[in-house]
Amino acid sequence: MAKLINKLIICVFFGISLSSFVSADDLLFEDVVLFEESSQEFDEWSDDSDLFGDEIKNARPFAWLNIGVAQKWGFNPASDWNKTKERTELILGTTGSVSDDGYGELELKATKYWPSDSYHSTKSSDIEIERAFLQFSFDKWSTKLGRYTIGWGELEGGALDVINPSGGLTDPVMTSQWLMSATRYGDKSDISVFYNSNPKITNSTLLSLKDERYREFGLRYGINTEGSDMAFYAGQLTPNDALKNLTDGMAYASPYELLGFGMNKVFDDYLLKFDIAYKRNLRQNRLGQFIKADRVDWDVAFDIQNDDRQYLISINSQYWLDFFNDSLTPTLLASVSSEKNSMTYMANVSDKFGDSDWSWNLSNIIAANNDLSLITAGLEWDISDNLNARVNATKANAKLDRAFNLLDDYQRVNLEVEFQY
Amino acid sequence: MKRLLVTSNYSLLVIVLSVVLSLSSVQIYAETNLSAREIMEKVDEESRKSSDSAFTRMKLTTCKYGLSGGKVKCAEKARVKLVESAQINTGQDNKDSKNIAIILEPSSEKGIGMLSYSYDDSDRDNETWLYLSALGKVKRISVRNSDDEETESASIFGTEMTTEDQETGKLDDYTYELLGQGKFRGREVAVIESIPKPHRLSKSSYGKTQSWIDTERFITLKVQMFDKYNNPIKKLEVGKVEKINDVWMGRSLTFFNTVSNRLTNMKLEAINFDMEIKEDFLTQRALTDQAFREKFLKDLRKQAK
Repeated sequence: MAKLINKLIICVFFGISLSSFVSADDLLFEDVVLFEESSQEFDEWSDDSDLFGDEIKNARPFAWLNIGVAQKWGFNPASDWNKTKERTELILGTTGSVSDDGYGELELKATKYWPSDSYHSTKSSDIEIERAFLQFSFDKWSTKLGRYTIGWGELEGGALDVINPSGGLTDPVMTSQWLMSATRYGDKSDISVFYNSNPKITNSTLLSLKDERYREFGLRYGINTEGSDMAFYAGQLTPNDALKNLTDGMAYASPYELLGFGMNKVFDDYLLKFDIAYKRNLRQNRLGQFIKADRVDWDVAFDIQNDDRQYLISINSQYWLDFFNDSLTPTLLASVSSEKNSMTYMANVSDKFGDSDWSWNLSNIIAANNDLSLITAGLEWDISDNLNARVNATKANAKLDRAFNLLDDYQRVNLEVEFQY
Repeated sequence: MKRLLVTSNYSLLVIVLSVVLSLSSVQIYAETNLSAREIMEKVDEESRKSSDSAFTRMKLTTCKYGLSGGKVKCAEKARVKLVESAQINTGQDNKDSKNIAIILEPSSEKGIGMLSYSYDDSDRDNETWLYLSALGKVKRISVRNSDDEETESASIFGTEMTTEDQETGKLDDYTYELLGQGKFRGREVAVIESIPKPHRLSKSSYGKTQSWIDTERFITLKVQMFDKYNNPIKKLEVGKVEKINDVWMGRSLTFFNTVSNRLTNMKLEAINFDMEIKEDFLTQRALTDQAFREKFLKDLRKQAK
């Protein structure tokens, strides 16, 4: 009997144990909050409340109008932190449908250059059309007319990204141009053409540009496949930067022909980008001659994204097919010998500081076979949906006997505060 | 021998009583005979219904949060994005999906679009493209596909939601275990643990997830995500469950990142099913051709009225 009681005790114990095991699962059904208590005063959050406000429901006045105000400063640390830039920009813009098949965007920028700004000596204010286009879409066709940007190729600033000029290595922001384009869309492909009657050319103020009016036009045929996009390019382009003819002292932006191919492909976490362009009839200086020469440009880049951290690593090559030992590259003051192959390496990393509203970026460019080394570091504070501030610092070192010698010891610290309404 | 028999009878009694006692506790919660896998299949099926030919307008609200007085509260001014999204199911058995999301507000991000293709087949990696108007081009995004365990999925529009959180299908990539059944917020639920299989684990940010599934409506009410070291890192709470067009769905989804203490609330301000969404619209053209995009969106807004 005692044994029976013992067995019953064991039985009850075993049963209760099993039962308590099941009860442990009850925790799953408690609506527990896993977060730690805080003494901070917070606005209340609730699924049912409108805590997050009616910012959107209560449409702001003049919702069709986008307004931005930016204040920009630039300093030169190499020259007692003298101000190189002090300007205020006011941006007004609007977007929207213009008919059942049409859409338009307009963005105007008014700039006030303050006396300490290096531009102030030539102009104290300026109004520019940053973007203005009309786009119409019919069936498989789309046309776009106005001032905007067309990005060719995979790598920004790469072998095929040749339509819109930028401020160069020290100011890579692209400038929009007046363009006409048309695209026909297929199921897995698209073909587009563009025409530019007056390509924008960057030229030194010390040189006069040979007034040769050229047109720019091109064609892109893109194919989309699973895991990869590719495109073929052809066109007659005008160089974005004028080239000094050492024989007559004038600057030329003579057109050249381009055939190219670009593709991207996902490999694991990496996005491989590849561009190659054959550029025919580029202008080149030789001793006492200004000749046409052909060049192959290519670039390979890896885009790696890990949460908020992004890496971009790229290699770019410019290889002269027609190269002569007396080939010369003009500089502002003199000319230096050219090299058959010019390699540029770039590494860029950007990320957020933890989960804050602060982000940073760092890049290093070694350009033209190490003739120029450029380091840029930036910090951005995304203060709110409307307000952000950023600071970036750039330092360059260049070989004094090479093409970028004017950029040696170039130093800039830029600060910008921007409000968008 | 008789003693042995008696002992055996006592042992039998012990076993029977033990089983009865333990089973009596379990039976209280036995609400469904479906296996964990079958429940997840039904959830996947319902989830597809709620996203097929759907046009939604959602408000994404993100902030750093804390707990005060037992309530979760925003610790800073919240960031708000208003997004319109269209989605259709495609492919074999409609198990793949195509989705486009366009930011309407804030004005600084207006027009940024994201196109995503999700494939049910484990061997096919999902695809995502972004349109960057300043560069005038579409950019393919390398979403997490690799075997590198340290990398994480890409955030959607800077929120606490990631591309992995949006994925549907790929049920064969996980093993499922029913952790228990019971009542949760007044609903009969099954708690199911999903553990990625080795080939999936290498591509996932999560070591496992536990999902609270309403076993009548087959919708998820809550998900707890764990990292690969079994630490809870993220939680999804689903609120405002409503039946819309015979489909049960949560109109308020809140992702709590319990590591960074940030939350993103996705509130479906308007959702419309059975819309006529052409597959042509869910292509890269909708990112680059604004006139085409606006025409389709206008048509969808008109259908939604």
